[in-house]
Amino acid sequence: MSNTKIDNEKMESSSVNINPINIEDCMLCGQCISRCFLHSGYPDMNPRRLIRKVALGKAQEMADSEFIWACTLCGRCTTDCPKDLKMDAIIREVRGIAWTQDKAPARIKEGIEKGKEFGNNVGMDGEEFVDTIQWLAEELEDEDIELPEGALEIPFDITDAEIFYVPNPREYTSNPNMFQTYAKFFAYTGANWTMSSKVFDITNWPYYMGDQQDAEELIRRMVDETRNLGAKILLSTECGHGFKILRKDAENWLNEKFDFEVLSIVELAHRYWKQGIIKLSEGILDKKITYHDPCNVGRKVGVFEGPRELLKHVSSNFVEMWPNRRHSICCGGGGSVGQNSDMGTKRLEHAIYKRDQILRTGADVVATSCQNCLAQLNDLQSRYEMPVEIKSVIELVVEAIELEHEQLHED
Amino acid sequence: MAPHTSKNVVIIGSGIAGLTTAKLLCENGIKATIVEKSSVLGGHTRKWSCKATSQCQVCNRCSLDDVMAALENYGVQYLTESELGSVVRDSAGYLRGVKISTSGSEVAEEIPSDALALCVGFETYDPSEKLLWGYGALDGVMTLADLDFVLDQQRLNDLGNGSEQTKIAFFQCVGSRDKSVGANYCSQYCCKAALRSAVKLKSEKPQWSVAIFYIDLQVSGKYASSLLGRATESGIELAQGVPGEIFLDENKKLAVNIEKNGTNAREQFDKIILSVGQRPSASTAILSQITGVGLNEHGFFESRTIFDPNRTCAQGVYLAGACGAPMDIETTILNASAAASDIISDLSGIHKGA
Repeated sequence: MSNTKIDNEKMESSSVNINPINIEDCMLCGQCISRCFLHSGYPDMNPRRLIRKVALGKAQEMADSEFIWACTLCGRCTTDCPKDLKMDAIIREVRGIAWTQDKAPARIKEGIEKGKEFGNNVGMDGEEFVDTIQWLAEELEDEDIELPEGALEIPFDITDAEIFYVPNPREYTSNPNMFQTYAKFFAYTGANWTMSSKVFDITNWPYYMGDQQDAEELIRRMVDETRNLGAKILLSTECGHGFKILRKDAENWLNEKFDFEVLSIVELAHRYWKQGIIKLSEGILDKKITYHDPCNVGRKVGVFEGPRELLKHVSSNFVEMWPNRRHSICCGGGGSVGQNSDMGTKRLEHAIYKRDQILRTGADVVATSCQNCLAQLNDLQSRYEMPVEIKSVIELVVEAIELEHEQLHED
Repeated sequence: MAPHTSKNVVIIGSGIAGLTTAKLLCENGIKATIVEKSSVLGGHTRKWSCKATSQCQVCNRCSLDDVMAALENYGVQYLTESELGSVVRDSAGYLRGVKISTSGSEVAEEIPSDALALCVGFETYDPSEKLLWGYGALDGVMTLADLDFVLDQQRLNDLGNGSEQTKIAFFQCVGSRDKSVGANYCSQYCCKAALRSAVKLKSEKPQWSVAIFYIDLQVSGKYASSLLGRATESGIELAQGVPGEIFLDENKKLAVNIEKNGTNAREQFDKIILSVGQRPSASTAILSQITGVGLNEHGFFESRTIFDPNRTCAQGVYLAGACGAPMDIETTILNASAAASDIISDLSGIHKGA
């Protein structure tokens, strides 16, 4: 991590800078140019050009450009950078200039302000949150499924529960089905879990803006609440950047070692399956499934095999996209691009590499483990009328569990 | 010509470094025993092809034939399919012999030896590790070594697509100057080798288009400007920036996204040749264990000091050629000559360095 911003004034006045993100190391190899999915979308810009501009003291020009808001921080361009530069860190530094000059996209700015005031980017207070969540759980009663006893009572603020689950605001606003899916997951697995009525947003929009101070503050709150509850596992929902920051950056940012575990719900599902807590028949889902590696979950954290093992097990036919894993192509909606209404629908036009990659697999279902990817992939599906369903890994796991139950009853 | 001393030097490796060392020793009346792991002599140089067009390009491939011919005059002992098993030292720690194990024989043979020269050369980088170049996965992506095989077999038409418009590209610094694959050094030979190969291709197939994608061309020395001159005169495109990903486009052609004249562009090729760098040979680490010669941060043998590049910290053990650092044929010959002169002076007592 770097605490030091690109000092724009210094950049302008002098070309000799001590640069915290080693852009001076760039030897112009050009590898990044060919790996960027914005290559055709911005014919006059590419990652290397941005690095050169910044190195030559033109960080302000870049801070005023559209390119930094089209970049999804996916990091694919610098995955095997010969000099170990990290494009996502560089872009966040440049965005930081725009942020301090009040030039950030309006919707992101609003979300960050709400986050500071309410602790979540949609500006919901604790009481309303608890009511919403309970109502969503009660809705499950109407479903034609048999849930374990007590499944409809969502635990709040329970001290010493094993798991403290932090959702993404989509789960209590635009995409309540996702919360219901997770609630069922906890019910079927008999997890000892709790939510908090104070901290209920896994996202970290200041991170997108290179606003280190506010990004750390959000993490501080989440870490304090985990300790306050005495949880052993801080569990992230399927949210790429939220999970990545907790797993990879948080201890460095706060300069402390955590006495609890940070897990994503997909990792937990994989663990429960390995432990036999979840029992799934092989190939129970009669579908051709492929997996989209979210940049944050995959490339940046290294969670590749867990979700694949689960999907390969439940699916009758699992196929890979190419390239995958570390070299997976971004969905096109990450790094604030999906939330940035100033960009219109450009994110869908920029995502044709992803579209083509999906179509080449001939899969019925594209699975992923990030709600941001999920939303973007759904938008891509309708924009290009792709003959695929978009599902989260946990959605498919829950679907498989329910199918198992159904078949058990039939027998 | 019979040796005029009773001294014997065991040389591990029969590439251009080992053979050049042997030649110099023999010329100075010292016996040489060459130990070669494979069944043929000549190392990498044997597999490489002559790059002469209507004029010599000074690739030095023919130096192998010259040195082999010279060695015919001496009673050099060749042990093929053999490897160094151990070194034998006297109670004072001086090298007295080596044990050599030969394939098919259970007992290691002890050979008296007054000096041991390590000349095990390099291995070419395996680019399949960097998945997005598609080596081994995409038809038409090959290495400089693969190209040499094609040139050597005179099967140039295999590279073409059947039409006049065949397009060939070379990618430089593949597995060199690249921290991400643990090789943060320049391999020193590849720019020159690619330029010569490109000139050769253009001279054989003038209608083909040939491009070299580079980071910066590391060509120096007395032949540099004539080589670059030939390349530009023959119409080879020199393009700055090496694409990091090769994919198949909608026409199933190899394609890359690049920046050209300040704008992003896409280009298609029939063949893409990866100019693979030099890596320490697999034998290096094993021989380090056996001889006590250390390895540097890149895994090549460590010499005694910067001023003493061919001696090592192990008494009686010397280095020659690319097992000490990446180098081309010309530099290897110079380096092996220096190693031989160190051995000669040490064995004749002129210099008490070893």
